[in-house]
Amino acid sequence: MTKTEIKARAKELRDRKESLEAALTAAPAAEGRAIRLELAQIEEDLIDCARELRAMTPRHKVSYRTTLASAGGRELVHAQYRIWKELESAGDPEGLSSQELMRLAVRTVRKNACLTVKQAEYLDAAEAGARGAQVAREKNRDRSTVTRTLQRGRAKLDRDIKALYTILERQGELDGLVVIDLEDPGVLRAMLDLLTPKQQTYLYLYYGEWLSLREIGALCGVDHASILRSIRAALERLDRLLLGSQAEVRGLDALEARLITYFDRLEDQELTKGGQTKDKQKNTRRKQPEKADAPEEKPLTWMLEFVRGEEVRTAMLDQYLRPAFFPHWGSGRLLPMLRQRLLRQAKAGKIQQVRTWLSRKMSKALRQLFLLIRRDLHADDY
Amino acid sequence: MASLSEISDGYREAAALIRMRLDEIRAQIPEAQGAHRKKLEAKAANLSGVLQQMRDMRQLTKEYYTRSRDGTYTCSQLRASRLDGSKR
Repeated sequence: MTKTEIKARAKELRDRKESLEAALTAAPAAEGRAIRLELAQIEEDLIDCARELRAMTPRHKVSYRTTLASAGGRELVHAQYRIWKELESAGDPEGLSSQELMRLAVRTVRKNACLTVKQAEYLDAAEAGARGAQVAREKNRDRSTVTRTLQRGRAKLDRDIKALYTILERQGELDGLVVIDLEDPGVLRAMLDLLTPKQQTYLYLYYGEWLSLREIGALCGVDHASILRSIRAALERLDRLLLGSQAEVRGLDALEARLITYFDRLEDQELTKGGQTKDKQKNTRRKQPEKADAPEEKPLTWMLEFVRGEEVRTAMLDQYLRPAFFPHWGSGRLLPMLRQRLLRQAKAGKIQQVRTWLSRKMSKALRQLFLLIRRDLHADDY
Repeated sequence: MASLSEISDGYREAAALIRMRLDEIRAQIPEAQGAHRKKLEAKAANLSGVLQQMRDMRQLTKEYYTRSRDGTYTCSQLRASRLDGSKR
């Protein structure tokens, strides 16, 4: 209460006291006790008002040792109390905490990760409490082999867990709809980490530019069935990891703008440098390790919605990928620009079979662009 | 469990009752004589002590969360001396 309010209250009490004293003189003895009790209460209230007014009037100089509350006075303390009360009554924040999200990401990835048979076996033993050397003795393998396998398995899991956690953190509520905003650098980085370079390229061309499988095949010089297998593998992987039966993908314009920006920065030599050689060498040098059993074969039951500006396109994913009946979308600048630049290179290099060369280089160039984007997004780690 | 504001109201009622009784005793003192007067004066002294405590408790419970902190019942005014008196 302010000084003015206290003084007003004291005045009311004094008026009431006068009226009661007048009533007491005229009242009989039986009623006198009740009036005296009320008078005593009023006297106590008057004493309380006087004490409050005295407390509001500082009688000493404020020294440097005075606490904030006494220096600021009652108003500051009242304001602080109101803020505390509001904060306490606000209740717990909605949704899962970051710790709970991380636990969810770890559980999901551990259950659904694509590990090899050996990696899964050694990781199960290690999680039961056995050390690398112990597992090696039990499996009758060399200790360094087992340690290396465990490291690779854990690195794979770590990468997937970080990517999944980044995506889950950006969700408001985990209610079955997963929103993937490719404009957010964190989400884009997570998605690029979860997919191979080929999958990145084909998914972008299939859903970002909305080309058909045959058009992508003609562009990249690859059979359309291989493209379908890559896209399906990518979607199955995302379906297993991302929680929800519906996903909304946004930020395709921003992704296209990013690709064009990187394309403008690239020099001709860098454009067709990387992307595919490592994969091919891996296939020819040693045989592929046996993959662990895929977790419960369940058909894809995902609905993907792609938002580009004000246009929304829905792709149902069930046993077969539905053919895309929509026309191409996007600005349509990236692929013609790529094509022109490569044609200039072909002319300068006097390439004979331009068409075959071009289709090989187009897919390489796109993979190189995604590689550079991923490298820059990871630049903050170093 | 009663809240502090309800407890404060209880102390207010108690203080009012004690004050009323104190006023009655003080009204009897001038007319009393000798031992009876001394007895009444002792009672009045006790009751005024109790009344003061009731007022203090009323103030404490009423303004427990909003009172100004001047360092009383805190460590803010405790200071450790720079010199250790035991070392010579």
